[in-house]
Amino acid sequence: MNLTSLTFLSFTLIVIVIYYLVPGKSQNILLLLASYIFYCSWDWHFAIILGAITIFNFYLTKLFQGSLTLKVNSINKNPNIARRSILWIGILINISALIFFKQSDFFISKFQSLLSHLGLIDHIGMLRILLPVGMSFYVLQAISYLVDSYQGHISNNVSFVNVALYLVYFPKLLSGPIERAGSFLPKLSVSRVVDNQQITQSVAMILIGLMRKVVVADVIIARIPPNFYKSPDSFSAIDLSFWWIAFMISLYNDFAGYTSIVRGISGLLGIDLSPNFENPFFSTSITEFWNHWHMTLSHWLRDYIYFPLSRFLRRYNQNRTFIPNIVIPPLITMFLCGLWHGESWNYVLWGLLMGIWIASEQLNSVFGSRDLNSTQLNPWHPKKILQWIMFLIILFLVFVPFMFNDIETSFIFFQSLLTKWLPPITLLGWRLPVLAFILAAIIDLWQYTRKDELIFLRYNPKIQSILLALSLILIFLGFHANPASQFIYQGF
Amino acid sequence: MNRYKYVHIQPPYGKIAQNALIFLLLFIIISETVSRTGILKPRLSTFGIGTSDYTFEVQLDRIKTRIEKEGYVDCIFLGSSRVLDDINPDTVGKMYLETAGQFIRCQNFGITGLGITGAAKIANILTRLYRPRLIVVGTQFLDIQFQDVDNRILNDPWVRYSTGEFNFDGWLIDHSLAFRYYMDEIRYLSIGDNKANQDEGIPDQILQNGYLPLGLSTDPLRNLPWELHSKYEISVDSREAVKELLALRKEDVQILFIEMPIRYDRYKSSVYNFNDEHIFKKETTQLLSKSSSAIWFTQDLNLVPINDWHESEHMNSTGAEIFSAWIGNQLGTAVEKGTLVIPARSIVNQ
Repeated sequence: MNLTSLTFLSFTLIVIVIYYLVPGKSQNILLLLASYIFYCSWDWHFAIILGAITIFNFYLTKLFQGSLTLKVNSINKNPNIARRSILWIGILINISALIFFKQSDFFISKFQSLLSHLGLIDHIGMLRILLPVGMSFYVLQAISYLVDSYQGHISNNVSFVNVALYLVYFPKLLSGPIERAGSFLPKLSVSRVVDNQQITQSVAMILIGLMRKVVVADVIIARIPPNFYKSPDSFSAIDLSFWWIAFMISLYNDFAGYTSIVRGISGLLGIDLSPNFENPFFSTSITEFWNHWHMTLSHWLRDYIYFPLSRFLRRYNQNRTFIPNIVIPPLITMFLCGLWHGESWNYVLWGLLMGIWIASEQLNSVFGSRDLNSTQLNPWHPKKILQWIMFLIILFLVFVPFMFNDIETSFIFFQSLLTKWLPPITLLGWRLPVLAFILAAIIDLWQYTRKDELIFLRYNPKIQSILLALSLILIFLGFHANPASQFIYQGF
Repeated sequence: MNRYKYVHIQPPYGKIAQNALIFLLLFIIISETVSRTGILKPRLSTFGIGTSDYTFEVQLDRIKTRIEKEGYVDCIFLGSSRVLDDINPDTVGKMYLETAGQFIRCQNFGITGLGITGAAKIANILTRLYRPRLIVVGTQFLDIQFQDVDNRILNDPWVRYSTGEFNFDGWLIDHSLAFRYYMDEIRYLSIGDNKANQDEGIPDQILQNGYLPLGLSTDPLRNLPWELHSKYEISVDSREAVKELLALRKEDVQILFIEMPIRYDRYKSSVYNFNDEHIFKKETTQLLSKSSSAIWFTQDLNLVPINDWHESEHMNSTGAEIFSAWIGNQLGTAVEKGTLVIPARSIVNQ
């Protein structure tokens, strides 16, 4: 059930109508049921895996919350160690499940390659294990549930229905936002009331999301030549640069569009989901970028890996200028971020490059000249604009391994980019992507300059009506300009 | 207790949405009016139904324009690029006139990669729109490999709408000129993509009679023979498509099948299993004989000299002239002898 399909629209409308007809106590059960139906529409096997993970995490938390007791004397003697051990067992099992489904083919193939290289085996096979859709996202949320429960951020009497709904809630199931248990579960325990303002804001979010997905991302994705990803050496440097920028804009709008749509849908159900993007391409530093790009993932990584790791390192050396304390946390965090994205070296390289960049920025903030920190400057100051352009160039360069399936193709891309500056320049089908770039820039500039993602609602009702009509026309025309594609982040 | 307590909607109800609806209606009325004035017509390069197959769009445009100019077509040649490149319908008409003494206006409707299932659907639509009296389906044992174009055509909203399956997009294409202009504009903006993969020439170069002549230079290595990896058989869908085609005879349309030849010598030297061709001939003959219909086999006649092939599977324009003249002659002879009956209404003496 694709999010931009008529089937999903009908499904959502039916759920919303029934949701407001059933008594408040039954609303969560209805959402849970609807979410599992939605998940089964992808593959019922996936629902079984998620169900098992939910049951496991729910009862494990009951163990360290004290609702269930273990009859093991050694553990009962020291409750803190027992609780901590249970937490770590839970985290490891969740991660192992994710690794099993996501990474096993990668590691097994590398191991087999090594054995083959050593002449120990002559056949390289694959397990062909299918990654359940959304697993990368709900496993992080399951870990959040464990950690937040352990830290006491979650009430001990949270119901199984609410925990199950937290993990499977259909608007955020496929690609997030990655909600934190501590902040999301309380939303499921209160009565939800939707008023005019909430409906208006939610509908506006859905429309902005559809504009980003259907009118910008899909238009670009449908026109990026398939050969671009396979053999970049068959393109001139101008072509490569154009489709490279196109990829970045489509990636951003695809994911930001998805997030906006699901936040809007959830808003209609009276449950606010966290924002994931805040015009990240207007950042001027990589730290700022990650505070505006896939925010729920970067905040999760920050709070559950980066900060604990920093605290751990500071136990051995409390000096804040001690270089390993500055360099190791971003490197490890972003390395894991790369692995989370995919089971190949290109994502590992991408993560490491991001880690190096963040580390160097932090080294600079500790040891470098204060003058370089021009965050106080007006955004239109020439120095700030130059800094922004430089940042974008480096950012796009770092994203190259993310764009291709393997590192070799990334190197071929760079080689062609440096050497093939002579014609022929083909740029087949460039016109519609350029229109999509312009539309994307208008939306982002509008939101960024007014610091409001729903700036469109600040205008008087007549202008709002025109904007609504215009967006509906563009979405309708966008649907007919290209076949609808799946959201890119569903692949992770 | 109020069971709707979870939704607090206060008046005014949806004022913005109401106004937006008015703007939408205004937009639709204005754009449709402007489109119908003909101001935008010079921009419309094709029929504009928005399929992902550009050749299909161009062919629809060519036949529509021709009928607008000349009133009717009697005979339509349907099939893959072998039909598109190998049959000049004007030559067929000329030879038919010489042999049978009667004028027949023919149109080529070849589409690169078109198989028999797609051809059946198109034949249905063309019969409903233009009432031809003869449809000649050019086919060949290699056509079994064609799936993509057929799938695209079978799934196209306009094609489905035109063959009786209602859907909004198909309805819109049939009723809104503004929407057709939009679809054509999208095609124009994406034109590079369409030009990229045209192995047998650019659809824009298709002549008004639907024929796309290929260059004289012979380059036999350009298309190397392909090999079928699966067991050769005429599928259930193809058999159904043949039935669908033959059912058009009830609407006073004569259906004739012609085997489209390929460069035999190229295939003889290949790894290709020639038994497949024999199965094709045997099964096709059996299939058609049940419904007293015919197929003219041409491969063994060696009609076109080796030098008049563009490559292994398509003739150059000289070869196409020879082949088209042969078809015209055969048609005329068959009608003279009474072995082929073309409904009389379509034949206009000049």
